[in-house]
Amino acid sequence: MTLALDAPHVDLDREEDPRGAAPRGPAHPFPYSNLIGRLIEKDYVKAARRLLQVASRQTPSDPRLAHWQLVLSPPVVRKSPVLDVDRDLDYRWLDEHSKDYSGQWVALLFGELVAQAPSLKELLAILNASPPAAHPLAVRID
Amino acid sequence: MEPTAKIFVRVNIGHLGTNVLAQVDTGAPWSILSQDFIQALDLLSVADRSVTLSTRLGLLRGGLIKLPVTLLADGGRSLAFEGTFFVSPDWTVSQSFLGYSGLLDAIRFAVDPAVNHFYFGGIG
Repeated sequence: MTLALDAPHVDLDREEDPRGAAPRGPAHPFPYSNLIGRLIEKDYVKAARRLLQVASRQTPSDPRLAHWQLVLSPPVVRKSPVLDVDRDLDYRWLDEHSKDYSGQWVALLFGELVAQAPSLKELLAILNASPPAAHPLAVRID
Repeated sequence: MEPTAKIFVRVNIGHLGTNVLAQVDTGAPWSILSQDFIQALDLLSVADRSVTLSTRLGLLRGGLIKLPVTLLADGGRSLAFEGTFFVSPDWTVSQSFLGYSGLLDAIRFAVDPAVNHFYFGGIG
């Protein structure tokens, strides 16, 4: 952990050119992307985010960092006016009928079965072909 | 419907034309999608296999992707955001999970088990 976060500072020390030219970079780019991946695999997500900040400053043109920037960036959360409908009747349907639909995806709305299919993809195809009045609740019955 | 001690919330993932139930798992570092979602959203074509994560099925290779999520309320306000999900062709559990990083860590939430309510809101 400490090593991973400290290492970039060690390897990326750049020497200033005494003639005032641009600083020289390392001969090989530091493997920030690999290190970030390793931190993620160890569940050190905050450390991965911090290292990504350092990496983005040091090697902003590294295309491999763009993916990590996308998936590690904290979500921007917005309030949504969309509300779900009351599902009490749908839950009651599940209590009473689940045993008859084992292995199926079912779509429920206002306590009624509006579609069923063996896969979510097929269920969505049925719903897209004949959209219900509101979004149903899709549940896979184990 | 669910006789075991699990917390399910209603979400819309990927702007699908239907809402679904997903299990809240604060102990999971990442959210993870079932194969049904992967196929319905054709996610394997966009997810790389750049990370190996420890899961209840052991070490699985897969990719992290962002997907639009609406955490659905039936009172107050729902929340919409882009959550990060782990996608692996080797994840065979039929359930989808909402994990901590890039999803639950972006909101405030609380559970009232006595009345089976899940409260949530934005941070700040």
